[in-house]
Amino acid sequence: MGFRVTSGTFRPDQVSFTFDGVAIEAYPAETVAAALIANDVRGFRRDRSGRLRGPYCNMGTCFECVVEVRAPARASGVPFCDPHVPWRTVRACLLRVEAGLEVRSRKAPGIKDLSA
Amino acid sequence: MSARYDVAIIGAGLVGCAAAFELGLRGRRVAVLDQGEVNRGASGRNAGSLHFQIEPRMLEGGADPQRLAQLIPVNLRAIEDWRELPGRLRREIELVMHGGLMVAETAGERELLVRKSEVETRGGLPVRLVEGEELSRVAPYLAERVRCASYCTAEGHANPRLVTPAFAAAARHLGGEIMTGARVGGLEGRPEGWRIHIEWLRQQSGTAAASSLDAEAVLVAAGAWSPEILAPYGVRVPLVPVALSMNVTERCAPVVHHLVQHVGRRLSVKQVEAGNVLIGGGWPASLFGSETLGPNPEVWLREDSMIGNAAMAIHVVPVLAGLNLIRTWSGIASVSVDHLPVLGAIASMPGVFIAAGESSFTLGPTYARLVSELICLGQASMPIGLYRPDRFEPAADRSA
Repeated sequence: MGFRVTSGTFRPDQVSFTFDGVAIEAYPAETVAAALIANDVRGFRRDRSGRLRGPYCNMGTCFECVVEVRAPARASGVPFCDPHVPWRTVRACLLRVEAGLEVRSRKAPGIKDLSA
Repeated sequence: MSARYDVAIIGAGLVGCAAAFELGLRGRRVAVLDQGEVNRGASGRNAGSLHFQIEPRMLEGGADPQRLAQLIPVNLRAIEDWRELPGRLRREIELVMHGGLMVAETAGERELLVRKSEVETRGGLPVRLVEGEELSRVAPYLAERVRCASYCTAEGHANPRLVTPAFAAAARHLGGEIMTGARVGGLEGRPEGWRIHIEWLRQQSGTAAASSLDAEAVLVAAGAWSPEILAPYGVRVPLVPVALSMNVTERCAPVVHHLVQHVGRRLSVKQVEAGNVLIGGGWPASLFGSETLGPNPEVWLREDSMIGNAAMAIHVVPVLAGLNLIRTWSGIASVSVDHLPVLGAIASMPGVFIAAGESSFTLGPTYARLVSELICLGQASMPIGLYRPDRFEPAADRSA
C-alpha cells in the first residue's frame, strides 16, 4: 500500500496522466514511479519470463521501474519529446509527471516493441 | 631450466587462441602468453561483424579490379571457416550467417557497388545487387533514401565475448597452456629456437612462475601491440594502432535482420540474439600515449563519435530512433596503409611468425589457420604473399 504524507504539507492542484490508458492523479513534481505507487500500481513491466516487476532502488540505478512514455507535444519537463519517436524507454523513478503524459508498460515481456 | 614448447604464441586474443587450437590439433605443444587477460583487447571489444564483401576502404581512389580480386579468396575461406566453427569448437558462439547488406544512397555510391559486386561475383563470392521493390521486401527496415544494396548471403555476426574464450577452451582441451599477466620481456635467439623471458605483471597463485620458456617457433599475434613486441629486434611491423568506439542499444523485438554496412559512410548495424542493436563502423575514440601502448593504454570515448554513429544508424535504419543507447565502449584495432593484415614469417628472425592487423575478427580464424600451416608445413594452403610483413620495405632489403 502506497500513501502520501498529508499532514503539514501544501500541495498544488493535481495533474492527470495515464498508465496503460487508465487516468492517474498526481501532484506536480512527483515522479511517475511515486505517483504510480501512490495509486497502488506495483507492476510496472514484465520480465522475459512474464513476471511483474516494479521499482526497487527508486533512484535511477536498477532499471527495474522501466516504462515507456509518450509526451504531449508541448510538455516542458520531458527532455526527449520527439514527434518521430512516439514511445521512449525511461526509468519511472527519474521522470516527473506532466499533465497529459502517456505511460505504458511494455507489451512484449522484457523487450521493446518498435512496431507498436 | 626453461619449459620447452613447440610454439609460443604472444597474445591471447582471437588469432592467438585460434592458432593455439589449430596447432594443438596438429599435435604441437603450445604456450600462449598475454600481458593482460584472454580476449581483453580488440578481439573482445569489436562489434562482432562477419563481413565478407570487399570493404569500402579498399575501393577508395578507384582501386583496380585485379587487386580487388586478390582479396576474395581469403574471404571465401573465412566463410567456410566460420560455418565449420560451431562444430569444431562445440561451444556456443552465437554465430548467425543470415546475410549482410552494404547500402548505397547516391548514384556514385551505387556505381561503387556495381563495380565491387562484378569483381566479387567473378571471384565466386555470393554477392548480388538488390534494389527497388526487392530491397523493400528483403529489408523493409531500411530508410527510403537507401536506393540500392549489395547483398552477401553469407554475412552475419558472432559474439566477440564468446568466440575467443571458446577457442581458448578448445586449445586448453588439447593441452595448450595459456598464461595471463605474463608480459614478454625479451626474445633471445638460441640454436634450438627462442627463449622468451617473462615479466609477471601479477602475483601467480601456486608454484613459483617460471621466468622464461623455450620454443622452437614464436607467433606474434598481439594485434595493435605487435609492433612494440618486435621493435627491439629491428623489425618494423607496418601496423598503426587506432582506438575505435562501438555502441549498443536497449533490447527490442527483432527488426534488423541482416548485418548492415554503408559503402560511403562509417556504419555497421546488427541486432543480436538478445535483441540489442550493435552500432559501429569505425568511429574513433581518442588514444593517448607515447610510442608504445603498454599494458594499459589510455583511451577516451568521444561524444561526437557516439552521436555521429547513432545518427548515421538512424539515417539508414530510422526505426532505431525509438531506442536508447545503453552502452558505448572502445577497443584498439590496428591498421596498415594498404588495409591488409600482416601475416607471415619474419625474415630477419628465423622461426618467428606474425599474424595481426586488419579484419582480425571476421578473418581471424582464417589467419590463425594459415599461419599454423605455415609454421607446421612451411607453407600455407593458399597464397599469403599479399600480407607479408616486409611488403613495405625496399626490395633490396629483403632477405629470402
